[in-house]
Amino acid sequence: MAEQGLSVPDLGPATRLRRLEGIAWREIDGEAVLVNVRRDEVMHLNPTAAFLWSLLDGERSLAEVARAISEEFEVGEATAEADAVSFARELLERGAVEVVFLE
Amino acid sequence: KRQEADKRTYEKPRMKVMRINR
Repeated sequence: MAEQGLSVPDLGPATRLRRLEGIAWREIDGEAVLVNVRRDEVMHLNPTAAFLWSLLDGERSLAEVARAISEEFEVGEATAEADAVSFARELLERGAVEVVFLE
Repeated sequence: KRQEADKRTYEKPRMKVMRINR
């Protein structure tokens, strides 16, 4: 599991990530609140981030997640993909997800 | 898949992190 301060692997469009079982979360009015008791942290995700988070099931690649985002929101697939990879890295650094497959 | 007119406004995905007061 990634910890803040430690290096995380380079993520790409083919990377598949999975939400960690230890993260309690709830979707509220399109946004999401995640509780990481292990690190005494609460994470508040905006609607785009909440949508992305809900798709991190270990089955979809980040490219597939980005495609779903571009179908749901007013954004091109390329922008969605770049933002998804960047945000996925943040989640990994925060210890909220684990890597299932790294390209 | 949503119709173009029905799509939600896009914001860059962001998170705000807060410490839990145990």
